[in-house]
Amino acid sequence: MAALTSDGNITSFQKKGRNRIPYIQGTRQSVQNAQILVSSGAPSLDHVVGSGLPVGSILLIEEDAFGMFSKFILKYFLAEGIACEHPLFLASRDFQPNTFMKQLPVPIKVDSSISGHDLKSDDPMTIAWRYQNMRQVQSIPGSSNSGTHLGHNFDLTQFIPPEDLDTCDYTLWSEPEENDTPIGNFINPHYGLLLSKIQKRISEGQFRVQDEPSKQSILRLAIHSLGSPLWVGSSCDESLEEGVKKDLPKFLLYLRSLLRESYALAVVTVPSHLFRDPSIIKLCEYQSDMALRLESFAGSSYETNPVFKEYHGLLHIRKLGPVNTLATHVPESLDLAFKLRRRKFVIEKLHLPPELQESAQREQDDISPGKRSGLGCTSSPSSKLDF
Amino acid sequence: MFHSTSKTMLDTIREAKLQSPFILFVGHTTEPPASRTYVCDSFHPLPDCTDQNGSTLFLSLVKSYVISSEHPTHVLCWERKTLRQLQPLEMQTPNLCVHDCLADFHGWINPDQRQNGFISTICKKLPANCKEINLVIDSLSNPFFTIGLGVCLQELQQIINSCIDNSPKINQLLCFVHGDMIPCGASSISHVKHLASTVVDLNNQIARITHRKPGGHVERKEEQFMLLSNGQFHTQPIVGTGKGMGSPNTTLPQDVASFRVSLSDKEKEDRNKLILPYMRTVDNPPEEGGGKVFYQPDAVDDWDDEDPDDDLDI
Repeated sequence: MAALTSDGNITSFQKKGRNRIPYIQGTRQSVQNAQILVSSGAPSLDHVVGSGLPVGSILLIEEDAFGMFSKFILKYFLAEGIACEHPLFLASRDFQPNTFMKQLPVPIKVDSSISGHDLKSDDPMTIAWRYQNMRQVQSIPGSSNSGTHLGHNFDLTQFIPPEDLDTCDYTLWSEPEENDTPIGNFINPHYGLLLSKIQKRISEGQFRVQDEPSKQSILRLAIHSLGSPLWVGSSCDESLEEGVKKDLPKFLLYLRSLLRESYALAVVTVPSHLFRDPSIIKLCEYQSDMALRLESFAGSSYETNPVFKEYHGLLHIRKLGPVNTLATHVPESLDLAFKLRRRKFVIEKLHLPPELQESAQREQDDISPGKRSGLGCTSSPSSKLDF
Repeated sequence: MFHSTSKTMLDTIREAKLQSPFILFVGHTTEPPASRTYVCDSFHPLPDCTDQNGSTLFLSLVKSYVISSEHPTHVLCWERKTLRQLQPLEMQTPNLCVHDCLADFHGWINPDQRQNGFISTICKKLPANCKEINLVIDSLSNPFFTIGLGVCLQELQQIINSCIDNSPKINQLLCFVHGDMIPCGASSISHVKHLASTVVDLNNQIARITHRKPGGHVERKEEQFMLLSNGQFHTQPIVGTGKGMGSPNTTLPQDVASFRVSLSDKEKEDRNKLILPYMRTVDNPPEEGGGKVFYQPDAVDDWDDEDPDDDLDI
């Protein structure tokens, strides 16, 4: 794994060996495990998974029912790559990668003077004046974090200008090419063909650990909707799930071993709602380093529920694996919700809206507990200590 | 009735005005009612599929659709009934082109007729100057078996992405599929639905519509339809029970109070002039030193600096 030794060690222990990697744009070294981190493009997502995505790992995104928000996460991931001049690799059989690239958002110019400070000046408090100078409570995790800033915010309304896209180094994959030879013994050869393309890209771009290119960079791999209906092989008509169950975890295993040896990382989305067999997604989570599940409210009964009216969906952390360390990163809260603003994708601790009704039956009692993570301060209804 | 002004979604589709690249109709065969008893025990007729599973509605919808749409419509027919009803209409309507896919689907009579895709089937009968067409497939159930599910799904996706070489642009794709007639079991219908931008589940005269707007917003509707004797159908929205839609705004104080709750600007200004006790003002700066405790020691007071909790083992 690509660990970075720098002069800025906090401990007195000094690692031997020369500093091989000077500095790669858009990266930061993790304080915990000396791992190179890059941003996912959404700063609050970085915070949730432990201040950034480690290079050499796979982030698995289990798509929401209509695949809308998982696409946004991929867009952020790729747009961040463009902002940091990282080479990109985008694979999808569901949409045209070409059109997807054209819809990438542009970074917002940082204007720190208007953020947060304008709230103080207006309306001085006369009675509760002691609260005037209190710190603003931040429900957005990571926003109060000072230190080196990683990642940009993107404006979803503005697409990247085509001339900027031309200067980027990106590879697209939707159809296998004629002369490719598949790797591995997959039921659907497309998995193997994609792997061989990725491997070729890694070796040609000199992203392997042992390579010594003139300018080191990080390859960002985005694979959209792996295992979707479009990945159903033309020959395996007898059972849809069997093919996916065998191929998908195997693909992730191969990909992970490739990434471990290279300066690359991958974000893979899978349409987990289409899999009837729950063991498929369990296997996929096992084979990836981090796994998040998006649960969108679009089209569900939660959409009109007043409890969730501020949010667009829930974020479930399924796995945060230890990378280069023994202990995993533990997020502050597991009750997370996300909302998509025009200029920001925000993941927040789920909090309930203020109670305005004076009814005995509170609205949030309607939601069955257990759907969400049980780690909040909700007591299960079967408990005797139900208050 | 106020519903007459709002148009139902099925009507919008019928008039070819719904912005959706792929509309999928899923027909579900409903079980015959349990109370129905058969006279003869040995003879169990299958439920009359044609009337119950929504294919009649689809056919009726397609007929209106062809006339309303500005683009020529090509219908790929794998259903005998559709073929029989649409072929007379083809004579009258220049915008309609019906393809008989049932006659020789495997190329036994004419090897050129062997089907290996949807677009390749149309292309044989397509005029050269044709730019943009609508495609109707009735139904997908047969090609799923003859061509293969994986191949069909991939071609449908390619049609939506409009990335097939030398094919006309497909403006809109309307498909019908029998929910219970699909390879790999009924559960794989979710794979087909995943591709569609609008799914219409037809079940027992009720259409459940899930429409994905291009922006990502999802609309769900339930509509009742009724087939009329003249081949048309009538639709009517099903009004929800209203649970969950109740507006919480009605319970805000300003909405329910019989008096005015808020203050006008003048009143706010007057209120701010009033100096309340403990308020921090220029005339009344906070006292230096803060509060003091005056304590008169008692005669029996144990007055030392010892920690009274010293003996406790905490």
